Amino acid sequence: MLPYVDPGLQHRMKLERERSLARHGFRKVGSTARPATDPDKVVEVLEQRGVDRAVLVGNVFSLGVQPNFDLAAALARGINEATYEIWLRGRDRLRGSILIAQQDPDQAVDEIDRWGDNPAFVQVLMCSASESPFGRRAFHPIYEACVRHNLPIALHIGGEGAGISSPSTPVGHPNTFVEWYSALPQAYMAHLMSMVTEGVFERFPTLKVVLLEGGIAWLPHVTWRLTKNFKAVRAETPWLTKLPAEYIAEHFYLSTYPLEELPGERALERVLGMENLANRVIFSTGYPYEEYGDPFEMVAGLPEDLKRKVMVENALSLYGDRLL
Amino acid sequence: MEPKKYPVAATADIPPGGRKIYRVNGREVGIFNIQGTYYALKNVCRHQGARVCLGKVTGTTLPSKVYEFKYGREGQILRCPWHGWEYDITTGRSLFDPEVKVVSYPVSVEDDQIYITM
Repeated sequence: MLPYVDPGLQHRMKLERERSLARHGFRKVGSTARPATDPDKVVEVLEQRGVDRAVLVGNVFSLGVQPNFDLAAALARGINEATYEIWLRGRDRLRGSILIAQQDPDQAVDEIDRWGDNPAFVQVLMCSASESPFGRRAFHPIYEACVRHNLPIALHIGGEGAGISSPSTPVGHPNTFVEWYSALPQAYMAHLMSMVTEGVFERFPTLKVVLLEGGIAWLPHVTWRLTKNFKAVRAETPWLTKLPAEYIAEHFYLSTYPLEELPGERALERVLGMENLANRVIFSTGYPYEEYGDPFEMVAGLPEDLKRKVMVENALSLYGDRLL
Repeated sequence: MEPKKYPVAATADIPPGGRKIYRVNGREVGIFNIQGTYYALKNVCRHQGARVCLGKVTGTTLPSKVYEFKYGREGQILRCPWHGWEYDITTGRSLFDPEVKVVSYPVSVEDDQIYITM
């Protein structure tokens, strides 16, 4: 069929297919090798790059918006089992994330309880694509389970617009990949505001949330806007005992891969200087994909003290002894 | 400058639940009567300088558990007419951050005369 399609769009379809194959782990763009399929090779790469501990985010980006709740829960169980048996067992350099399908909180809680005391896992993971914002009370049992096992909860973008989720932007489905991907932090903005205002951190004061692959520069904007507006309508949420900015600075962590390309000299340093970000941004990679740049290069220009926070200390403060 | 006591109004001018704005020593001040006790607040919101004492005198949702709504403090809360910042009339403090405070003045009553000290 392809030769009969408009040549310009034929090209777009080919690009789409390449990207889709790459994103689903079949091969790296422009190569035929299947990347990151051999745990021992991955450990070798980590050694070479000087990475002492790597937290695996074996995500299925749209698991939490799969319309069949039992299929989603079964996939989560299988992936966690496989992650432990194939990757984590006996490899001290690796740690895992307990993947859950949040659309059925009951089964998600069971899955957290199943792995929560296993020291190979350091966080719970769910996709940020969702049927509703994460502050909603239906999700609270998930947070209760995280707190019970002293595990942070990580979110990963990528399923927005799929399955039972809303369109990936508030104005509908975008036309292109670049729009879709660039707009994904909007999901984090919505979840963050929902979790703060619905009192998740009043109910679960030790819960920490990690926002993966969504950039960092939007965070000050949301913090300022939410905090400003809260002052005018505090009476809506009388259970909040702190300003939104305080909850955000205490409970949310972000990751470096991929960063916005911040223009100008020492721009990253300037952003890290806002809203306590210096203490809650954690180095991450998109390994084995590096479509968005070399993750080490992104932080190479930071002064040593900041680099140490981003590469070491912030992760230790978040994950604690489970990383040691 | 030493604080000075200024006569502002007769007690009969501001019945319980009432509020009036006066100009005292060059400043606009709102005098509020909450169940027979008088309070004086400077008529300037700490946010953007609105004439806060013109705002609604009301109650509000009290500190509560998550998802609980308890109404109370009727007549003790002043809500700024511009952006809705809530102040506790009895202290001048905002409800979202006690450090944010409308200037308040000590009030005394002698022989049915209300005085404020500024």
